[in-house]
Amino acid sequence: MLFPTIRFAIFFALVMPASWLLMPLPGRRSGRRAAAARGEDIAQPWIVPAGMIGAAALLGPLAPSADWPGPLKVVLWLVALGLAGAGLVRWFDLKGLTRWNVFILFASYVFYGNYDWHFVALLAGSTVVNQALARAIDRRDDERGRKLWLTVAVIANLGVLAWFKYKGFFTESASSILGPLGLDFEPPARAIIPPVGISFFTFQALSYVIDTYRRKLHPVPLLEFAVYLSFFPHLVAGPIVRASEFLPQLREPRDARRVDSGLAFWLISVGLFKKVVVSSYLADAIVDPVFRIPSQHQAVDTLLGIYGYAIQIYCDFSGYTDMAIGLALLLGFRFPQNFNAPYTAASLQDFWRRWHMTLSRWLRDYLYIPLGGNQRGHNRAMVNLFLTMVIGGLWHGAAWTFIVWGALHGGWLAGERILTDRAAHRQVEPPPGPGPGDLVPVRAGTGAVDRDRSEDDTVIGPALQQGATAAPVARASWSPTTRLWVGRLVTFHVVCLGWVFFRAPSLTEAFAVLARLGSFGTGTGVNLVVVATIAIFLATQFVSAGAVGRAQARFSRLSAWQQGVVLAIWLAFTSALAPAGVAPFIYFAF
Amino acid sequence: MLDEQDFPLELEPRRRVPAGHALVVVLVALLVGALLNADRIDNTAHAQPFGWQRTWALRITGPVKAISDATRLNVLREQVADVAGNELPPPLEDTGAVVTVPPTAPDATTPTTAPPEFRTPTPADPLRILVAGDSLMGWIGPALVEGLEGRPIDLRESWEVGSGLARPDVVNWPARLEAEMAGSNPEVVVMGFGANDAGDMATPDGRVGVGTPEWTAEYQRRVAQVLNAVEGPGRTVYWIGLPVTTRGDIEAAAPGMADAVQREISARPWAHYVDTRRTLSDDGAYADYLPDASGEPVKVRESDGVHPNPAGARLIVAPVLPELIEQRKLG
Repeated sequence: MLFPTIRFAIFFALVMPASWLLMPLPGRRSGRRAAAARGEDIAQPWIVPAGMIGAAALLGPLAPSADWPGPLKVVLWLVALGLAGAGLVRWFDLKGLTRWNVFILFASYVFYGNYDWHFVALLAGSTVVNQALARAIDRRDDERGRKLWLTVAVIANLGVLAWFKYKGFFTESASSILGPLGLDFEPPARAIIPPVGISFFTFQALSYVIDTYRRKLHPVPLLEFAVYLSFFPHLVAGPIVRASEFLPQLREPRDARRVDSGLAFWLISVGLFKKVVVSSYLADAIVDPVFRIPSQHQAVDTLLGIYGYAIQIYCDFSGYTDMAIGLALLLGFRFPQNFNAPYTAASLQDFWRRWHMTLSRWLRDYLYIPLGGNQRGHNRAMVNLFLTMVIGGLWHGAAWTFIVWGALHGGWLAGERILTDRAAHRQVEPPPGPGPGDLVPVRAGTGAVDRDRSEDDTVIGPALQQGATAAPVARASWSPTTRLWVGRLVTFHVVCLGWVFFRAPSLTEAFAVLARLGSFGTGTGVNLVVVATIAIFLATQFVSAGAVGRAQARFSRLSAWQQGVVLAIWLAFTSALAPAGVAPFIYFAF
Repeated sequence: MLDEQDFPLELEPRRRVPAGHALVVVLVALLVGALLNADRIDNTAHAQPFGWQRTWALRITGPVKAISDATRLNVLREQVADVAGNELPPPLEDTGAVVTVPPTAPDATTPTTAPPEFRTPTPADPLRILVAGDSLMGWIGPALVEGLEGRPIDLRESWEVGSGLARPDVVNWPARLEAEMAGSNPEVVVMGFGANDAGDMATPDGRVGVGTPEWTAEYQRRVAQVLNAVEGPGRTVYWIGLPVTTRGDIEAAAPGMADAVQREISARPWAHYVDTRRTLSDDGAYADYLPDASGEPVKVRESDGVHPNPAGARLIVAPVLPELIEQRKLG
């Protein structure tokens, strides 16, 4: 049940009104009635989703097969009926936010179970185990005990991730590396299919446990944590929402009288167009041919294929994120920003402030800083930066191509930081406010400095000002505009070089693609529509946020009928331009 | 914690509306959108596998399309799609793809003629190869190009995800292949189907259920149809058989498919069957890892347990390459 499908549209068309009908109005009750509205007086609300899911499992994936004995089948069906009945009866006892939480949890599990019911058990298991570990950490006052439970939590989460995502890769790599030494590793006969979104919900669970350890939050009730982890708009491909961002929204009723639906519809429509038209078209027209059979393409085709992939993956992933943010808005929730015109970046540091921002800050907060950040000397900071990006690369997939991609970004980021530090040291007087050498944490989506943070550590957030200082690779003697554009050009091409490894199925194919850049010949001819598509979508990166904001505001002021008709025309237009057979989102694989 | 100024940014005030307003927008958009987009919705309903979901989808989309046709609300979409080259395939009932030829009876007396004398390809006039079929053929083209590197070939790909001989609603393969033969006139056709064919099929006499003898007979008729479509002077066909998979529904239908294909292939001396159940398996059993040419175990499947990956495709084409090089004078 992917976002841009009729099945998902039907699912959401049922879930959205039900969600608002079940959502209590804020500020209407106080005291005991407010507590009742939040459902605090109702014990064990988990019986409802557990009963329903158990019944659904027994009637669906766990249903007895035809050759089972008749009495056993009857018993199982009675158990299913009992579970469903218990859930249904308990449902009517629930009130307020608890009832909404139960509903949205059930809807999210149905959404996830649509991929594979077995993985719902994994998600539920991850929820229960992480909640238990967070509570164990929270209960302990001694640092040693807290650290012990934290270690257990990290090992458990990364262990599950490694089992599903990396077992085959590590066995295969060990086999090829150690085979010549006489050490044989037998690869598994069947590779394990990683559950969709496991990387995303594991990272969110880890952030919850680690923030509990850091005393930034106390564990919330199990039901609320379960909703946080499984909330379907962000479940399979992010954005990676922090517990501290989501849980406060979950504890207060969303206001059904003030829905930011204009922006939501805008984001969903734009995201849909990016995915099903632009991303799909570029994949079919240039990217797939170039990356599948590099030897059939000459330098110009290959370069277009690489540029095309830069736009394809941006439209694919940011399109998904737009839709996720829009869907969450329609349910009354706000997610953090995940993209901010990344190809306008004038340095790689700036790029990572604009690309997959929620992953960048996760890596900063839960990997780079624990590694020591830049608190242990300059050289160690460079190593930490490099390691963070390599691990970030491996997070995307179990392949050497992702490791090379991460190493390229880590190496270039370290190089940029060395150049930036040198430039800062050469300055006699530091500029007022944040400058290129100041590594100050930045809040996602705003560019605003987060003064709450004390650590002088960031992977992605040097408070670079747009302009001359944003390009460490540029010469000081150049004009600010020249430096800015040289920085942008160099950064874009470094990112594109990384995308070659990101897209290619193996290192051999990646180098084969790069080798074709030196092959000059007639090629297959330049497709002008491809060139125009790439150029237009690069140009859209430079459209001012103000212009977009004004258009969104105007759209939001249209009447319901006008908005509906505009959206219908946009949908038909998108459908007409979309090639047949839209591929799944690229980030579903991660 | 997020506050109002975090994200999404609000540089100009947006109007907040009651949830009911948003719901009205959704309903209007879906209703008007369905009328504007009726052709594609109806086409999507036709493209679903046979079953109750398809039946109900058609019951809903039929009237919507009728209203859209009557009011001509679908014209705008149609014109934009025409400009973009995204014409919709005709519905299944109109394709004429369902049963047109009888199966070719295997004939032991089929004259075994000597292979024709093929020309020697040159860089200026390379050997024309077409790779066609469903998504299982995805990495076959690259594997052939790699295996024939440095030799004069011009490889063209025409495979479609989700297509198959049981799915003429997705791609009408006989028609597509006839067009390909008339257009690029390939000398070698490498094709394969089956990943999407483990479902019931429509025939003029009604629906035939997968796994029945009627289904196998119908599938054989369709195999004959595509083989007839590609038959031509001096043309060779390599039919890539369906590999062993982890999907129970595919495996249940696979013997019927293999039987149907091999019967038709055996009656055509210019067509060859490439048995992937032998080359892409561990003694007939599914395996994700198999020894490559150097004897090292490598992953040969995508994570779905069905599709071969690039390494798997290399194993599949390995027995084809020497034959191609020798017969087609690519050495």
